[in-house]
Amino acid sequence: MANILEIRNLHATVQGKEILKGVDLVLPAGEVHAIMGPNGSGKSTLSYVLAGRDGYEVTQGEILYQGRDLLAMEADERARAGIFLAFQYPVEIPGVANSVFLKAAVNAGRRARKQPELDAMDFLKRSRALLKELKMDEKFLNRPVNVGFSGGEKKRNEIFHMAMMEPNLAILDETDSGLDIDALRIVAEGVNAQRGPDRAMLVITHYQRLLDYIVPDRIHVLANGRVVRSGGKELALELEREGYAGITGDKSAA
Amino acid sequence: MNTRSQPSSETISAHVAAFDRLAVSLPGTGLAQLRADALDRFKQTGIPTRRLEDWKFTGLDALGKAVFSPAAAGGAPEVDVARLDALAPVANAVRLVFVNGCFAETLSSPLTGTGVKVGPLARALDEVDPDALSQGDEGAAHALVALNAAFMSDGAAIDLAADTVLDRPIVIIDLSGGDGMAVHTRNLIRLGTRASATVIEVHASLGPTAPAFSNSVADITLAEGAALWHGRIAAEDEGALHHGHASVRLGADADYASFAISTGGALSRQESDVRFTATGGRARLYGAYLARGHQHMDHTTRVRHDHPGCTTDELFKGVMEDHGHGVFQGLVHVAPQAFGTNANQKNTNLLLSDRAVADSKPELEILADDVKCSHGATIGDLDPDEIFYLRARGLDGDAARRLLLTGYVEDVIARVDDDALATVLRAHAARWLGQEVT
Repeated sequence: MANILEIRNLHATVQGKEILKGVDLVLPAGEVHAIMGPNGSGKSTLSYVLAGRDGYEVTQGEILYQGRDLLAMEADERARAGIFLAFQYPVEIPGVANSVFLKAAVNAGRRARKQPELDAMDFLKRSRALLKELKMDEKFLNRPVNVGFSGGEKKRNEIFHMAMMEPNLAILDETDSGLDIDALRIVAEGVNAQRGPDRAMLVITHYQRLLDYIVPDRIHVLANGRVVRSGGKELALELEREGYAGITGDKSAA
Repeated sequence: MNTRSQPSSETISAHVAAFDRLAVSLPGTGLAQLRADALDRFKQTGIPTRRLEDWKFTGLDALGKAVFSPAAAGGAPEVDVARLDALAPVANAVRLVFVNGCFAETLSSPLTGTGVKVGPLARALDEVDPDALSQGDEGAAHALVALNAAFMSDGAAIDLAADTVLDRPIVIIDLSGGDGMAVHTRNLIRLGTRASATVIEVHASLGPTAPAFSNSVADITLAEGAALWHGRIAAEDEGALHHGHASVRLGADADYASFAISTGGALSRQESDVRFTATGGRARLYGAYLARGHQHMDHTTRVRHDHPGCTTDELFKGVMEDHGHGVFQGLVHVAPQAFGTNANQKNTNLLLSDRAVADSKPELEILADDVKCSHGATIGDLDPDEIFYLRARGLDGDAARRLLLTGYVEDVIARVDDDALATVLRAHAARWLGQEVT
């Protein structure tokens, strides 16, 4: 099966400091991989490098997305090509209705993929169905993006955006942080509904808990800017038992 | 230091000559002395200059050099009705149109009914109490109000009796144009006890004529418990000059809400003078100024709390690109007896180019105890985190910035809980932002 994502010997610096020090990772279509690791291991940096955020400089290595050179693409071009980042800290946009932003985003992607744009009716119909699945009130469509949303509502809104945008590669950056157990279950169901043979997901998390609900095909442990262990879903249980220190051999990692 | 403005003799003599020529034809026979006195005050001070503290960010140099001759009554040029609809896209409005300061009857739909009078002021001027008209007798900073008092030709007279609720919005369209033309309109708005209305002033240029100087004054009196939404739109063409002044008096528990937006002209200044004349009043002053090219836009508000338990809420937002220059001055004065005052004043500015300028001067003068007052001002650029968030969802950089700017302005327009006014404001903001109105 084709690979959605191939990362080879990726080195990246932030403000002159090397954070990623040779990451290798292959994500085939149809699979969900988890990236786990202690704080400061480079998890979020990896997600921002993949999404194309300014200030994250790749100094070595390459990233192929569906066989294309990802690093040659601008952030918005990547999104239109089907890469979605669910933010760890979703940004508040005062004055811009959630629906206005999302419709512009969805249709930017559809135009790029030569699909017909969603009109207002189609957009509303799909939105309503998905909001219902995510147990979100329809009022979230008209409210300014993330303004006044609780932590859990922001994370659910990210999953709502993801579902509307139908990405080929979804990167979930600590989507579980700040969620209580009920919200976690709803979010996980939303994510699982998006799994499919043409899609791949990278689930970045600090805790094993999320992986009880989003069961990954593989788990990679990131420590000190490298993938130090890869394995099946049972690796999460080992991490739970022994902690990151036990696996990375780093006493300072908690 | 000598803070008196230097009268420009050329400008003053031009206005004196114009007054001698026009005085007999100006409306309101009983107002001859009022007009002559106002001209005298203008003669002493001339056009305000940056030497005045109140005008230190806004120079009227262009006005000082050009010799504007006040508009004489004349035939109204043809105006396309579709253009009027675009300037104020509201259905069912009571519309009054003024062309170079003269009432355009065929384009207007005055209203007279039980407790309601909405029509041209010139015809009613002889019945007006002169004290209801501001005359610029509050010092050199108000010289343009004095000039308006001397030359005012027409405007809207809006009179609502007690307990009259007008659910149709009143739209005043003030069109001006012509080489060296100065246009002085005067709107008089009086709401009786518990009456309520929405009044939207749109100031625009006549079209392919030379830009003019539009100097418009609104005198607003709200009786006990009355409520007014007052929209002010300065959308003249490139090269025009605009000065708008609203003088507002609030009775007990009266509710004055205004939104002033500037999108056009070479230079504009919109002033609000608000006074509480009894307890329990509320003033909401909102605004936006959107400047590009070499546009200069000034919003100056002065609110006097002389009575206990009144509330002021102010928010003005500026967007400046190219060499655009935005100014906000806000003074809230709380007198010693005005305990229980609640005043909140905020001004934010976005500078989208290195050469754009924002001057912000929020000011509180608090002489009373037991008050809640706050003020603040910010000047900055668009937030890179917000731009990245939008780009990471597939919007290109240009679309992301446009959406953020729209949201930035919408954030203050959203405070307008009058649908007709909000629609008009959105249309003017969208035009400036280069977006289709949806």
